[in-house]
Amino acid sequence: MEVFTQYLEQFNEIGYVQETISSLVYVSGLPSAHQQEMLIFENGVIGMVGNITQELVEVFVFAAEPLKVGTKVARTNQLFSIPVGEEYLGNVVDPFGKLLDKFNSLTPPKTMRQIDSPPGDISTRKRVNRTFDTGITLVDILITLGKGQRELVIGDRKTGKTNFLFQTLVTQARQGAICIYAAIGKKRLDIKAAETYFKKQNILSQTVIMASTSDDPSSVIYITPYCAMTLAEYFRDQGHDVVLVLDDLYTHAKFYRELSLLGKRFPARNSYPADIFYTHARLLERAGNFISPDGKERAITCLPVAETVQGDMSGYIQTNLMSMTDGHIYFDIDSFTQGRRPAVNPFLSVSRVGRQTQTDLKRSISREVLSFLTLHEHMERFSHFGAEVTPTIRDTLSTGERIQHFFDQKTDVILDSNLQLFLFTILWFGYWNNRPFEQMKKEVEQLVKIYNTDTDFHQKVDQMTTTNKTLNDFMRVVAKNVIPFLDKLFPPLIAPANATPNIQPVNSNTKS
Amino acid sequence: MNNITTSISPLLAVIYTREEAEKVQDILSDSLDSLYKVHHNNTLSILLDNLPAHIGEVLKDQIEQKQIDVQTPEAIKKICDSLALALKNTDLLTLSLAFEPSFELTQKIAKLIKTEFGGNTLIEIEVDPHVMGGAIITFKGQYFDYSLKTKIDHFLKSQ
Repeated sequence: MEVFTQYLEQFNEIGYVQETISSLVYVSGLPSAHQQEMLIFENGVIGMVGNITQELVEVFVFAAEPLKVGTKVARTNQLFSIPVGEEYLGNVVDPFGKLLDKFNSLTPPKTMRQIDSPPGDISTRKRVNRTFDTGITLVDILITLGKGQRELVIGDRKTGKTNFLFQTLVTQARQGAICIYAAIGKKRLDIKAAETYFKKQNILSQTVIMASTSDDPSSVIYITPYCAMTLAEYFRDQGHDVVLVLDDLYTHAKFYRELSLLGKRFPARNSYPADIFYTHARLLERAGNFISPDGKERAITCLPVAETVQGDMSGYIQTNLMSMTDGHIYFDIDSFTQGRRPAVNPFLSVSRVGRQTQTDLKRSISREVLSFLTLHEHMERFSHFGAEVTPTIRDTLSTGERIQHFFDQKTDVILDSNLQLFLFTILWFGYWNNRPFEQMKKEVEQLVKIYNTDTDFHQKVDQMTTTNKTLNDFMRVVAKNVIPFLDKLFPPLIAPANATPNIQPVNSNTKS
Repeated sequence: MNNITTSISPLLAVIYTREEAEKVQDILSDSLDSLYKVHHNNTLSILLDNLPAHIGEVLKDQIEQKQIDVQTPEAIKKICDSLALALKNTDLLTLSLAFEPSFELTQKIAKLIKTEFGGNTLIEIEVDPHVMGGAIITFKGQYFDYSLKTKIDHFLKSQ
């Protein structure tokens, strides 16, 4: 009440609530109110000016309790701002910076930032040139991403999108990035599951979960991604690379549609408001690769999520988001039902700026694999006719299936970029051609373990991937140096009757 | 129709408070309801009788001076609608006082305000003991706090 009175005396303008509709309130008075200005009601509730007509001011109210008609409201003459700071790291907060856990408290940071600032102009931006690792082989090799890219994650519900995002966040947090997970209109159980996962992976101290729950007012859900982006910009300006996940913008669009229809805006396509594209575009444009004033590159990599219905990528919101992002990763429900994990369809997925960040070796491998997988897909369709297949086709189908099994990755497994290339080259060489898939997977797991624990092995693998420029060169090195090592490490497929195993123990120096 | 429009201003000049304006609007609404149920001459006399005396006199004078047509129900409807619309578009000045002013004082304040801000302005008096003295004025969204309470609060904060 005291704050309200202070603003009233300072600006000498008052408004009275005339009408309330859910999260929207119509106020008379306030002749100098401007759009997106923060207003304060006499009971302490905060609102934001949405629309201004000749007689009334439309206000988004950020409180669950309804307001009474006649309630007084004062201007603050400030655009809507939220407190931002490093105090949020390791916490689950609402869009206003308050802890979702009501039993604890958090000292609010003193720095305030507007939630709807204009995106950086082209003089502050730099071409995307650093690779963004997700830790998932399929994505890192075939759909390479770059730091500062906006990559849409799209697919039906329950196809593994959130698992993929969590793995990506873990990878990036371990590389030193600040991770912000914006849960937009999610269930409390899902938010808790995210917090538990990040705590288990020991990355919570570098993560902020900014969440609005499904029972929050539509206005609170509407501003969640803007608040998350504002926080991301703060960390970028502090000198960090930031990864921002917006989960999900399709839900955001639905709640904005609800607000617009309540606000009597004329419905456009699918009853969405006419400015739905602008609503998302002005948010996503704030991500990118930037040059800080001290000349260093800092990126906000944004991974917005969009849900499809029965695999329909041609939906209104989905196509909007695809057009305003730098590519999309499509989670195919058919691949999911076939048991592929992650269920990413590399043919329907696109990365528009990721390829320029690839090393020569990765580019060489990526091209080879994609063209082979395309051929494999054609062969698979051909084989459905039931005609007798030639040995060549049979080999192609077998190799393709082996590659698919190789790309299957559990949710708790995160692979280093160099290790991915190393393992794939061994596969491409044909080392596992005659081994069952299960054995191949076990041997891959063992190699991953050795890479993570043996410093010497780790360095050798990194050196090999750095010095070789093409797949063929790398395969020659693998043939000369790696295959003999693997033959010693893993038991032969079929042992002769009188032979004894000739496996020498690996020199296991633990990593510091 | 032009005669009707020009006759509204003198009528608004004698409606001082919001309470009065709402009462006039109710009477206009009742008159319109009875328009086609009784003879139109009766409607006009009902309207003139029910309006507050000073307002009814002004309306009668205006009808005579401006020779406004009152021979048909449609003509009477036009008068009522024009007056209702004018009342809807008035500005409201709210005064928060620590005491309930007398009728004469209210009229005096209202006349002063109409002189300053035009005949379209109505006043509304709110009694708020927390004001203690002075007044809080709200007009067209502008808020001016000249209350004694605020002055005392500022004085205490400065000390």
